[in-house]
Amino acid sequence: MIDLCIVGSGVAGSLIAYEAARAGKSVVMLETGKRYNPLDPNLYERVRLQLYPWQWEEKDRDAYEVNPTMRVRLNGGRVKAVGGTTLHWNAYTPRWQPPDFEMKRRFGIARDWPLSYDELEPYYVRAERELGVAGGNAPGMPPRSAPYALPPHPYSYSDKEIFIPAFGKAGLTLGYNPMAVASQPYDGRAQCVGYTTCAPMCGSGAKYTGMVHVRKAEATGKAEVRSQCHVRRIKLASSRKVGHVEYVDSRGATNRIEARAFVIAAGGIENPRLLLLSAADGRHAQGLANESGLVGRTLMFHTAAGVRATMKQRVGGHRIGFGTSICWDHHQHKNFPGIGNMILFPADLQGPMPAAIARESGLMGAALRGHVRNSYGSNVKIIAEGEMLPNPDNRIALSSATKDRFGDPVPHIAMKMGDFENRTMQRGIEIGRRIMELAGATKIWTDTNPLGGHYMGSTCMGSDPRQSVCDKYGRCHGLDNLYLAGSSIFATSSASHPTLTIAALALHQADHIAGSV
Amino acid sequence: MPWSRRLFLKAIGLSASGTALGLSTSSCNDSRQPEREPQTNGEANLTGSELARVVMFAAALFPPETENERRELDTTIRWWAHGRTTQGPHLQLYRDGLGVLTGRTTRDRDSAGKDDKAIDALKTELLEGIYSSSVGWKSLGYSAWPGVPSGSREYTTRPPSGVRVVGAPMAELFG
Repeated sequence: MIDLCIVGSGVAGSLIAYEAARAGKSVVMLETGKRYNPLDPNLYERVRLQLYPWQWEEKDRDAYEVNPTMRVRLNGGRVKAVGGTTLHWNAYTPRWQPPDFEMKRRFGIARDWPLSYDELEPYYVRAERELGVAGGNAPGMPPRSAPYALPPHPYSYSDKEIFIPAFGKAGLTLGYNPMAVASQPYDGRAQCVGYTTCAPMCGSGAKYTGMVHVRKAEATGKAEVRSQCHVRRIKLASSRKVGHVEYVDSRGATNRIEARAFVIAAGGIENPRLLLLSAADGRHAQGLANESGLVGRTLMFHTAAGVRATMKQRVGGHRIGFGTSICWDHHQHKNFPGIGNMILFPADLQGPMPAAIARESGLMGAALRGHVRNSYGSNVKIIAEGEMLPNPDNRIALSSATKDRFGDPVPHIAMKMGDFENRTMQRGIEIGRRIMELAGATKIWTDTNPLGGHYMGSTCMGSDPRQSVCDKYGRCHGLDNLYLAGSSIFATSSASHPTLTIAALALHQADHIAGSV
Repeated sequence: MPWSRRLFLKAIGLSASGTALGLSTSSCNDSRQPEREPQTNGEANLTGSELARVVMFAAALFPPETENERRELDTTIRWWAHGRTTQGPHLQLYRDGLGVLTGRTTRDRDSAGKDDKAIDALKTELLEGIYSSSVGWKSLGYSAWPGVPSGSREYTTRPPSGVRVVGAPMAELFG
């Protein structure tokens, strides 16, 4: 029997695998997707051809159901492959603010985490080092006890020339945006040299992916990754203990693996789905670890309010794959309870690409060429990413109508934006529009949308088993050897991107698991 | 000029009925060669002749301004069409568009609508290829573009100013 079986090989699973293997534990990771080399030039050729590099075969894409009013693109928001969604992420790695962990106690809304920012802070430091985060000072950023792993990426031309002055006129401040993209050679990774295709694929290997820790875990000789192994069920040995998981391998054969402990790190959608699919007798009749009834509930995304504008001058755009600045001024918990927190960041992937301008122009010949020349390179964008409150009605359930290729119900996602979220997005638009006006924009237009890529809170952690699914180590209430990892265990959503917090929590969990298994 | 099927067909040397007008096809010399066998696996790839026609259509959409640009367009579009049809699901799109543009079409009303869609789809596909790759980005004054390393600090500098073209129509793109 092995020590630890981990389901999923994204940033959470691979970090826990590495730390456990480093501590001498035997580890097997089961990954439903394929294994790719993130530096494979043949895969990168697909990026140049505007083809998606990961799991592109349509038959591999996942069926799911979602209420039609929400523009949820589940397959666009996650990657099922060794390394997980970090293969195509943008690598934004802001920390969360201390009050994000104490929303109920401080403000009377949402809920509290079972651990504080101060407890997590040392793990944020470790996570930044493991992921190779490049960053620098930014006014209002969360407190920190150590510098970033790498110096920041310098500000883009548009940040220097347009946004820093315009934010200043609006009484706001921009600072360096922390990114898990190497600004110098780091830990075997190359320095960013501006391929600009971070999402879906970095051309140089400067961007962190979960493959970094998959390989490190394997290098210990104690960890093994089995790709294209789809876990269908978690099976109990007793009412308080998991005995094995059942999975289907790449040849279609059903297998099982026994372990002393199990970590489910399959993402904010699949974590609750697997618990629901694994319902058993007695107190597990509604799904494993679901005595609270919260498995699948309180699903949260981030909201996104986008303000686009055309400037008088050329600003470039598409010369770097990420924004170089961030504004923390509206992530200070000052507007509760009416409006949520948000982080503002100017996006350097600005406006339509030349191909889109050409497509939509209705022109050909010399007129087309002239039009694209005239139109491209003057657009900018500000995104206000906002928080959602945990609402039990926002949930993942099992579809009653649609099954996957293994015959299991696909996820049914029910999501609705509440007044709080709508007000937050509206405020983000007002702020973004004001900044664009101060920047001298000649045309401004807006859009709002919940981000599809951040799935949080669907198996939340907490101190009270009646109001949470797992404890502060991700261990399921009432199941001594079953852990959950990743953004599904978040108790709140914050306004900031989730991955660094996923990594910090995973390292926190790994210390506990390595010491207790 | 505004896009129209008639003008496009004229630009590539075909009448609306698909009859060759005898105009120059200097950017697609291969089209004057006997059709080659498909390159690797039967009907799964574009033939050399088909690729040459694709280049010709691209040149009608995006007329090269120099000999260097003509060569680059030729190379780029061959790479693009071959890649998109062998690695992506676009082969039928090319076949449908080529079929219409080379006259293999019927004349009833229903088919006319399908023909227009096929040509539009091919036009969109070729514009994507032109403006996602070197030839398009260079025409905007850029020396690097997504997919090509630009150096670690190029994005911090003033961008290429482009060449303002007087009199070109400015469509409302972003409303």
